[in-house]
Amino acid sequence: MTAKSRLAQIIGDSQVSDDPADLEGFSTDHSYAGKTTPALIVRPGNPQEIQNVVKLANEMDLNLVPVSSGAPRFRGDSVPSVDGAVIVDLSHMKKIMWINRRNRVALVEPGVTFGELQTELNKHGLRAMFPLAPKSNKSVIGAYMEREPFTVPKYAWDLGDPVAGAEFVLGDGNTMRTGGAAGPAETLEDQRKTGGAQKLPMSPIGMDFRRIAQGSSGNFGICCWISLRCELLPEQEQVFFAGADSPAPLMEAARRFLTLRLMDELYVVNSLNFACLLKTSPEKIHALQEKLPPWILVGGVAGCGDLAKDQFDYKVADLKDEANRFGLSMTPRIGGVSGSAYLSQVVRKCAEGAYWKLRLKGDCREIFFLTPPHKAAGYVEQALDMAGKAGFKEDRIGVYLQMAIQGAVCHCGLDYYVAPDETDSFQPLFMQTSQALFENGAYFSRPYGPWADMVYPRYETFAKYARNLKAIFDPKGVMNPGKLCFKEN
Amino acid sequence: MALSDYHYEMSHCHRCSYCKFIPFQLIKSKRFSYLCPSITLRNFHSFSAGGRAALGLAIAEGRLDQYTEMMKQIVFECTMCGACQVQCRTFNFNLNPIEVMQALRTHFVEQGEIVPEHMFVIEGLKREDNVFGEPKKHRGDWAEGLGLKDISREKVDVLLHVGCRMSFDDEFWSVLKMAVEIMQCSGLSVGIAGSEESCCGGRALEMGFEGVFNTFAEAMAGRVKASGAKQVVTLCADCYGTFQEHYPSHGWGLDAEVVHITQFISHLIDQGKLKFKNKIPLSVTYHDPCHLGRRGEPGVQWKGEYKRLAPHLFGPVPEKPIRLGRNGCYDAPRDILQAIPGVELTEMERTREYSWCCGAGGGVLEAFEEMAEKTAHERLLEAEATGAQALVTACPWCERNFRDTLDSSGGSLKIYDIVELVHQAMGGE
Amino acid sequence: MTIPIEAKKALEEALGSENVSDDPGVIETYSYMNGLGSGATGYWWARPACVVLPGSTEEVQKAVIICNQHKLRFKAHSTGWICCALATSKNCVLMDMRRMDGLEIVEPDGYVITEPYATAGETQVEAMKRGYNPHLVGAGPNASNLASATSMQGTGGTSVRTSMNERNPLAIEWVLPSGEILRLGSLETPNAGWFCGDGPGPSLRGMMRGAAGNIGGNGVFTRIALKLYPWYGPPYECEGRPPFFKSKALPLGYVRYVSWKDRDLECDALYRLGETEILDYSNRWSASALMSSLAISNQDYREMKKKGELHKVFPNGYWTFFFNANSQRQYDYNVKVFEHIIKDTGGTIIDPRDLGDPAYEVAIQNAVRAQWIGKSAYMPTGSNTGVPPLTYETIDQCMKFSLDETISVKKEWIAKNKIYNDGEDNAYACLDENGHFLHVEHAAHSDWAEPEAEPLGIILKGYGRALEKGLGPAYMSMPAGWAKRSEYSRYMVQIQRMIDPNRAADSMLTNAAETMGA
Repeated sequence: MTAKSRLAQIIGDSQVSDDPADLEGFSTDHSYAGKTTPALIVRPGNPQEIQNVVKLANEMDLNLVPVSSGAPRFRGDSVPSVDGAVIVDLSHMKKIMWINRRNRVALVEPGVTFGELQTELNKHGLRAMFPLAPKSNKSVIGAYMEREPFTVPKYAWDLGDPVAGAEFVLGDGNTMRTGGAAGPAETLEDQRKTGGAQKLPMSPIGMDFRRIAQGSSGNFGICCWISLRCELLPEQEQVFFAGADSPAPLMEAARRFLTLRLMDELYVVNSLNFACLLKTSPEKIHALQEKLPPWILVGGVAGCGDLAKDQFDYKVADLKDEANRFGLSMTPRIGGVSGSAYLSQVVRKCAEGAYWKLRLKGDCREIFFLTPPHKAAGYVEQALDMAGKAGFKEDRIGVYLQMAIQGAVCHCGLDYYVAPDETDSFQPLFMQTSQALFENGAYFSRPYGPWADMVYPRYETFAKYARNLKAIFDPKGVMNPGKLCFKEN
Repeated sequence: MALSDYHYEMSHCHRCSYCKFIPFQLIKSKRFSYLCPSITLRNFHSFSAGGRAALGLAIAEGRLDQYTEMMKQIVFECTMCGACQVQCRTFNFNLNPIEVMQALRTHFVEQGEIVPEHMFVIEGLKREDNVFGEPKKHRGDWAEGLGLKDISREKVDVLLHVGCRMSFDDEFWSVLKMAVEIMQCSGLSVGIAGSEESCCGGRALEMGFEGVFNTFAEAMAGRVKASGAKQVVTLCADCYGTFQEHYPSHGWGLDAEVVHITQFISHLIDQGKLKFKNKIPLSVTYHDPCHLGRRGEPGVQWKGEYKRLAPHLFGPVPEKPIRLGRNGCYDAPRDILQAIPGVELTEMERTREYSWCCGAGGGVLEAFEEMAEKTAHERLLEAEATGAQALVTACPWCERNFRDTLDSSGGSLKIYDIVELVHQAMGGE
Repeated sequence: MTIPIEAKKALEEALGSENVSDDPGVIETYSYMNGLGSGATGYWWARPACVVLPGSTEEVQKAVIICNQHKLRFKAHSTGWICCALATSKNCVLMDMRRMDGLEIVEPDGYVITEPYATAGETQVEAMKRGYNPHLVGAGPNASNLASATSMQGTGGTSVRTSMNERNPLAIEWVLPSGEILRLGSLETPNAGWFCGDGPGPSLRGMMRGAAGNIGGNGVFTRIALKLYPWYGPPYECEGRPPFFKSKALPLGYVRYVSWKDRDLECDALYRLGETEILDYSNRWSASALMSSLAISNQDYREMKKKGELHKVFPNGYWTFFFNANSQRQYDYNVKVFEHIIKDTGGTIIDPRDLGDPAYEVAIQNAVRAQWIGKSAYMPTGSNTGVPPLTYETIDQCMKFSLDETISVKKEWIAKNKIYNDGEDNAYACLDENGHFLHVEHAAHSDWAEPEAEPLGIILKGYGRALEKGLGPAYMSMPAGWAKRSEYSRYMVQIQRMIDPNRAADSMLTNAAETMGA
């Protein structure tokens, strides 16, 4: 029997596709990962089916590429690196398995998007931690399993947050639950009978598979569901802005505001990204951009829980004092955009219509890395300078600076807005800039696509042990081969 | 008490490592957070109070069938400064490290495991009644021409016990003379034993020679009684600590109040009998001698045993005094320095109960040169870190070791005995 | 066993002869520990073959390679406090990491690069000078922060703000049992530094530890960066005389004891307090534990117990809560919402000062420096066994289920005189990350001098109960769980064997797991 027919036996004919149009959709993305058309797409509907698919892959030496989010995709991690791959499309697994207000937790399957989750959480007075305006079909699990930063850094204790428990089908076909879901009671329901809520982020024994799997582009197994910690939905909430001519003073102030835990949403963007988030056409984007200061700190102040109004009031008052110390004015309006408008369009919202990174030119190439917050502005300057020298105009580069893990790191996102027919000509600058930033200390913690060849030669021992680790959990190397440091597995 | 009598205590070290650090509430910097000179030098846990308790326990339980040079070093390369004791007891109800360490030393000596250099001291003591083995007849040479009363001939109010270091190290004779001049402000009759003075015995005890110590303690008690003195004053912190702690804890009493020179001077200032005429523009820091401070806390002889008070609850019966060093002499020297016009006192990070040792005590100066020097050097660095021009102390052993170390390591810090500053301030020459 | 002469010689050449000892006296001092489970196993552990004092990562690596070459095992430990990683194999070269005691606060990034022997207390002192606060484990300021972050557990009262220490490492430098140096996160990126520990790509932090670590069995962690948290106001300082000293005032600091009669309401309050995000410290303990901290001798403790005054004040245990505000406004809000929630849930707030100065000092010094927790845990008997169900999960699971299960286990042991009667409820608990989860464990004192002492048995009994009742995943770090869910321990053992091809690490946990069928 063919792989297709065996897979169809497991999950049903309708859930296996080799339609060329379908396959084409997974063959490339908005990155420099190249183009490889998969052989099949399978759409398992539950963890058992996922496990059966993985077991079959081990039996038949199939290569599996798990994908949770819909297009457009930007990282190349879901583009097969080898011929004949099987896309495991999890976007149909849309169960929100459980929401519990008391323990501030939700359990979701891979196909659940941020918008879908937040709609349900609203009913319970909870909120999810959103990346910055994710695309409408962005999978919650897809974002968190790739350590995507979210916009409320005070809740980011660890890069793996906000994942608590999880269930995986490992590359060898076994299953494993991690964190608070690990047991000892076997079923989630039994765990809940004794007050458990799958809340613990750490796994029980001397290793933590969830942590290993995060950032691995699905190289160790497939995540069937996660429990994620949620936070209270604010009863009082307001967005403030501060503008500046350069990012450095804003980052300095943001670091202080984070120290004081005065803000929930807290990040710095340049005017271009700010405008892209809010406007849908190039003309409107440019029109708004012209009214804005070059750099903007976005800060959401919230009051939650008991005496929420009191909490909100003291934070707003303290924020004004602290901002004054930095010579900043935190205002509820900037460039004609009110905080409430921003709140309703961006905060805990998915990008509506075309994804905001494609609105300006139709394509976008991302360079992103981690840095200490106080160095972020320097890297931005370096990148802009290189772009300028290469004739790539600064007004086509969006910037997003997002602190995480309590301010120890800052995600630095550079969005190069290019037209679809410019992507090839942009590639040399993309690589030169990446290389220069890397040599200067920018940490490419998620070295997708061509970055792998830039980063891993410096991480020889790391790569060796990562491969050894993969050999334990995925001994036949069926999971997304050829990515990251796993080209040899 | 014999080593085996400490079995319960030794088996109740919790390996918390408190004995290696000053109290965590008091730490002001990582740089000066360590407490114990011994483990700071050798780094093996064995060289801490906890390590020594474990070694003692192993010996008491017969787990070791030999004594090695390393074991001897573990036991004796320690200044017996007592810092571990006061820190341990803030946490642990059931262990008195300094007693265990004393018992270990006594045990080693009883087993014939003796540090050769210590034998020079002991032989000197036996032969000449002093730790240097210097001719006894010269013990009172420093006092020639001072007209001090001889207690063998007449009764006195105050017996000045000089101690071995100051008697035979002529660099200190000027300090002694200054002290006499100061003491005369009291209007009391001051006498000395001169060549008849003998060692207090403290060093012998801390080297593990309890019998030798008892001999000297008995002699000292007899001399004091015969002198009729109401006070025994000493400039030596080692002697002071011996009189205060070791004598009572071994059943010896002196029929007189034991007073350190700093306490005597402080009292004179309080009484208005000592006035300072001169201003001394000097920034200083003060080093607490261990045997004046924490080991100057009065000792109590305890005879008892650990008993079961309740299921799983054991304790010493009768209750054992808890030695936290609180009742050592810390304020008198500081009061004096504060009273001297122009002197500006800046404290080091490790002071009072948690002062870093000078490195000279417990037989270390005599046998473990590297430790003595490195310990002193560490203290000198700490003193320099205060920005002070001078390090002031109140013990000739500390001063000797600081001076010698400074000679070899270099540095601009001045070393003073507190008596010198007092004398200068009162207008002496 | 005796270390082979060639191996000793090689170690001496690599580390310097003054840093290598196989003297029987030295060996004995590294074989002793009276603490966890001592009543069952005795206070003597395996004698290591040799003790070494490496002074650098390179020296650690050399020592590990020598152990591999000579078929010796090795294990490293830091300050040696409580779960001290002593040798469990007789051919073990024990590494005392004392010479590696450096710490460096990195500003303005807000993290510390720490070596194994730097303590939490020292780190806090240096961090506070710069407006930061590290996580402090409940074990106390004498514990190594590196050890709890990499190899043990890492819970403490500050966890409500600073989480538990599995969650705090940034970049990590790790000498694997194979002898290779593995550097995690940003460290190998040129000019980057220590600010991140995950990636590139997968996070190999995941093979370092779970809720608990491998207690020295995964190699030697030579340097790690740990993130720091904010500290508002002046550095915390004490002055005065031992044993309790006197805290200098924290202008916007607030510490209170709180107790509830009703456990359900207590849990409600804990959830709500967590959600306000005001707390910097939370710690639940018992009247017995407070007496242990306040007493200065066993007799003193016994007298307090006889009088029973604290048991009257705190019959159901009590919490210590602390926060340190940045502004008067924040302080006022914090106090208002704190009092509101406690009142609303029927709790009783007690100002520790009302119980006397030592009680206040115990409260504030615990809250800031975890100063007296260890004393409460180990006094008056000298030994403490953390009794399961030793749970990390929700507030409800820990407080409503686990806590009482443990009391039931303890009652049985107390009745048989196997452990000390501390009033049964001696549960230590603390919130983590604004109440997102909670840790509870239960002290059980015992004294080896008591002939019937059997503290190890209560651990097994407790784990059995945890399995039976389905409580808490952290139990699986102990052998009782491995038989039931061997899929976890099987992978744990595989990882350990992968990084330790010659079985050079003295890996007690993985060896036991393997023995038990993993």
